[in-house]
Amino acid sequence: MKRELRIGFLPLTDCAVLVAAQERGFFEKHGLVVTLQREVSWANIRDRVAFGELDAAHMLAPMPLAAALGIDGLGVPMQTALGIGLNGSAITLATRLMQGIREHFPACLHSSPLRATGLKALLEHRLEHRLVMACVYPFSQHYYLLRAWLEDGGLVIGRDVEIQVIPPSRMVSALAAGAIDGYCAGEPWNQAAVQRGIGCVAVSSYGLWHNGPEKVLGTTHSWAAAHPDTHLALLKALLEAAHWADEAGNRPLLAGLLARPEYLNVPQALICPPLLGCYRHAADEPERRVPDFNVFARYAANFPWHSHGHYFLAQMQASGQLADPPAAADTLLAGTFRTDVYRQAAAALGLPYPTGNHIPLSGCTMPWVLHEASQAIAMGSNHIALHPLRASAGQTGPSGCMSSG
Amino acid sequence: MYKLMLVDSDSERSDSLEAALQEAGYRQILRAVPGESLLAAVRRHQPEIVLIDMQSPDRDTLESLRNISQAMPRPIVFFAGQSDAETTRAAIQAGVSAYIVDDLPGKRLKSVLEVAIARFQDYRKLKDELEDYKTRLQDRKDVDRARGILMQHRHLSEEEAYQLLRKMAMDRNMKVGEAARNFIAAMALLGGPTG
Repeated sequence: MKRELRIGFLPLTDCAVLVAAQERGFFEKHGLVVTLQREVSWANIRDRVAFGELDAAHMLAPMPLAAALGIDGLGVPMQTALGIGLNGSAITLATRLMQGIREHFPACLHSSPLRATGLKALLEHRLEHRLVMACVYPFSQHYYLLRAWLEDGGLVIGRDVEIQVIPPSRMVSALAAGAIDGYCAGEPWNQAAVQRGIGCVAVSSYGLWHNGPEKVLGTTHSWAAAHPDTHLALLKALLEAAHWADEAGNRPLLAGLLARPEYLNVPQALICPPLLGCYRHAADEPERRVPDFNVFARYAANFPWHSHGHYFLAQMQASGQLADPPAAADTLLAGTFRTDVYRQAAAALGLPYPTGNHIPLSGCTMPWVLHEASQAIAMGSNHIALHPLRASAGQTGPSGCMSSG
Repeated sequence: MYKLMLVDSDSERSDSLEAALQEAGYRQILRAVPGESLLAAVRRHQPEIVLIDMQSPDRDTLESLRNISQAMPRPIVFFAGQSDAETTRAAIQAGVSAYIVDDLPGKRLKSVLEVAIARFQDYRKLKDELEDYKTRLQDRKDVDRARGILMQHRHLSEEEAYQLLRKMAMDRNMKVGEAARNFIAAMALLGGPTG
């Protein structure tokens, strides 16, 4: 069994499960000696995992699928057996835009989640011209959420608004310099703009989709096949770390670990409030309570649902990243979202696990319970606020909570 | 001949790479700095090959030109599709990555990449050597300082003080320089002389 591992991460609040596993001794407990390697781009993560310089890494949830489809520019097939975070990102607009909406179209602010209709009104009344928005990577939930939010508000991508890719750590300076008008990114990069007063959060990812997919642990197919025991030990360590990180009582300590120079290298005060469910949208507004802003383990957050895979396939097609639907989607998803490996790890720890591979992606606006599981699992709302998102999520077959595939 | 763009915040390394590429027959070499102006520079100059330092977060921005923007007339793609795995692996290890237009022959890229890999490797070696030299210099200074403190306090000879430091380092499985630094730090904490 391979015991010494290098695992890559990007400095974002949702690398929390990896940091918790390292700093709270879960890797050690499962016989692993891990070096966490900070990277500066998702492209580096992909390349270093693909060529074996990293054993595994913190990845955007659609990345392993894009790799397995061969549309990520590299085409070294990857997979995930573990989600490491739901929610956790937001769409931030330049303060100038939010002030324009407050001043001219205050009625647009009487909806929550906030729709992009106020932004559209600013353009229609020629108070603003063509906008530039940014996201962090093409194969990301950020890109899909941003597109859906803009389209829902009536903005035409390409005509009314251009979408660029900018690394998360550079979003705030790009916004300050006026190079972009807003962005969709993970924390702490929204709260950083809010704190400086240069940006206002329009909507959190939780607001658009309660408990939607966000980050996973990815490896190549060849690595997972060559090191099944190591993979299992890694999953067990991370599952235990995820449960530790999900405890509200551990969150302040977690924020302190993440703030360290070798991880996020930003003040703990910037990281902690969202982890405790206190989310500020604007410097001059009180905090809003979003208890599920970061979900690391509850609601079966770590399970690699095939339904998420179907949703990503639909989004990749809708955004022009994937020309045709793959010939054998079910086989592709079974190889990419390794529910079988997850179940092995969860069973070894005595944790409950889902017995099916699919889950309704919307339709429950209240907490519910998943019975298709080794033991019943408490689930959170899966409400999806926007029609364009629901349409992509709806292609997955079962659409209500009463049935599950 | 192809138009090349180098994206690297290290100007010394860029100088050396540019010279090597010119020697290999490439005449049209542009330099761009990482950061917010990169996208505009790529759009304006439309290079056929972009070589970029992997320490630059702009890689994600470059990749998006193919996936997102319709405004980019010459799509650039990650090179691996047209290159062999060994060259790709060597490039990643050296810390350099490349993007090319769709119709560029793989052979041409390979030669450019090989030059870039060699330069990045040389540069890393130089940097490692410099780092090593600096560490050794610092070690010598710290050992001298710690030895001075020991000589003064324990009334030891130069040689005895050094042997004591060496033993301390060996007992703790450390280098002598590191042990000396720990010793000086501990003395400072106790309010004793720090050399």
